[in-house]
Amino acid sequence: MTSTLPTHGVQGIQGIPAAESGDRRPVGRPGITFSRLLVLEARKLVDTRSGRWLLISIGLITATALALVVWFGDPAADTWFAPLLEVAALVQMVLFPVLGILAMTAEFSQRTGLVTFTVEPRRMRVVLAKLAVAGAWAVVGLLVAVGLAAIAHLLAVGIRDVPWNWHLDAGQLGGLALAQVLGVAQGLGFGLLLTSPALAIVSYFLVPELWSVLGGLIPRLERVIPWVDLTRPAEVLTNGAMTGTDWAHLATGSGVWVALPLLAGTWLLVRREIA
Amino acid sequence: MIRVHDLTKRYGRFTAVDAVSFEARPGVVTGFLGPNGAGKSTAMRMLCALTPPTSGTATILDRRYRDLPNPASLVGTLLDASAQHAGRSGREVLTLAATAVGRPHSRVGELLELVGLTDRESRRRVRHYSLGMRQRLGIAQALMGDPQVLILDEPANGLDPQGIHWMRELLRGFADDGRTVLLSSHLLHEVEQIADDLVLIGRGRILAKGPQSELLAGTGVSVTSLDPPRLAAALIRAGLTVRPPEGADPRTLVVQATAEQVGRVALEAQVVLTDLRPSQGVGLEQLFLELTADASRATDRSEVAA
Repeated sequence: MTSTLPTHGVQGIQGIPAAESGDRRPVGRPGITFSRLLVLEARKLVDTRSGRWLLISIGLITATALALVVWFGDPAADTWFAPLLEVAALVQMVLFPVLGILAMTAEFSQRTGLVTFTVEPRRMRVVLAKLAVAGAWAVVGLLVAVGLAAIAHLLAVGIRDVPWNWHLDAGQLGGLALAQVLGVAQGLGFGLLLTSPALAIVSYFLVPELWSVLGGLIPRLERVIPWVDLTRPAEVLTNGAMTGTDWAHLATGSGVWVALPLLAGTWLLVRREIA
Repeated sequence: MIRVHDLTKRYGRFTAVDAVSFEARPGVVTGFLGPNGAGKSTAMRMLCALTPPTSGTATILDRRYRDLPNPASLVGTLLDASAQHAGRSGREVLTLAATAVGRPHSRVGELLELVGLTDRESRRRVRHYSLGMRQRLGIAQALMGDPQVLILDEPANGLDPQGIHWMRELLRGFADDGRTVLLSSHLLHEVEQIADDLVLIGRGRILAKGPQSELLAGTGVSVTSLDPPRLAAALIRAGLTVRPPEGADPRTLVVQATAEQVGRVALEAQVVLTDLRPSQGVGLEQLFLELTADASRATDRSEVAA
């Protein structure tokens, strides 16, 4: 049945002009464009008080860590540009995954999913948009880290008589970026799978640790552990000394700790009830 | 236009929505009425692809929700006014909504004005909003895309009387414009005043549906006569249910029958009638209570019928 009522579209409700009125048959492809989803998700990361403060804290903690190194570090090695950048990036790698976790869990804990998934019912695309946006933020974070490390090195040169040393291996920079992106992706995966922010954050920090401890306690696991551990290969990745075995460990470790939670979480998300 | 056909949702052995079918027509406000826990919200979430149905179909504008292009621009939804990020400002919530449906940000100000949120209120975080303010924000969010269909779950909750009056006017205008409105409520008086069509639901099942006027007509007639005791006796002899009037004129009886049946009994008993009309006093509330009482005591009812 279509509308039998006259379609007088100019007036609209309460003075707000209506585009058209009466039923029209909707035309076009389902959902909204991916670029619009990216804009939405990017905005949602920074437009809440918690999101803003998390980013500000990451900046402040990074700066504080660098200041401590400049002040107390060994002027011969610690305060060159590359080691400073490594410090900044390591601090960020602890904190950025939390951004990923909160980006995902807010949809459930703050119940914004009710709106998010009515705006775009194809839920997998929302996950992809969040991954892209959180990954982009991780890279932006690394660029900020580069800037802060540069300032720190200048200060070190000025205050502590450290020689100029701007050497940075391109491979190491790439490694830092990759580690950073893997970290937020893992955070998103944990958030997606566990949906509770507290549970996801605690699990993110504890479970891989417990797993390593368990490996130390049970000798039989010793040979398996390196293949299902992400902590160590990520560490090697950040100081830019990856060997072939390290890459293999990174691949399998990411499979277990990043890809698996993301896939399982997405599988659950597209089937679950959003309430 | 909303079409729901045989929609069912089961959680384990519990059936939340049980083979529900109804339509919400354009140009009409359809009230989805039922006590708490009747399955209204579950049904509405199934309409919007948030809850996967166990079986059955639901279409809006002849398509499944998930197949709608830019769905929020066609279907405005307010499924739970409290479901907002507490740390986001009202203005920001609307800015996101404008981005989502592809509207300029200037529309945010227009809608804030429409729903009566001041500029200052809009900059506060939703954490500090009262439920009434959240409802207004949610309605603004639903209207952002200038949709063809509105789906509102308990939109009158937390609104003050002026707010309820305002919402009534707003939805009336929306429907008069040839668009479709489906709103749920357990506030009977609100629905009675605003809805043209009614869908009554209890324990997941549809108990009654149709134009409000027809549903109300089914609840009996009120009859005023010159000799109420004699008429009452005759009506009871004829096997009809007679209720004393509720407070009003003592000469008026409420009878569970059609006007014709009452007229014939009066003719036979030779009582002069001065007024005979569909009962006003019974109203939707009575109907609602009767229907939901039946739903909760279905076995009792079948015993009585037997």
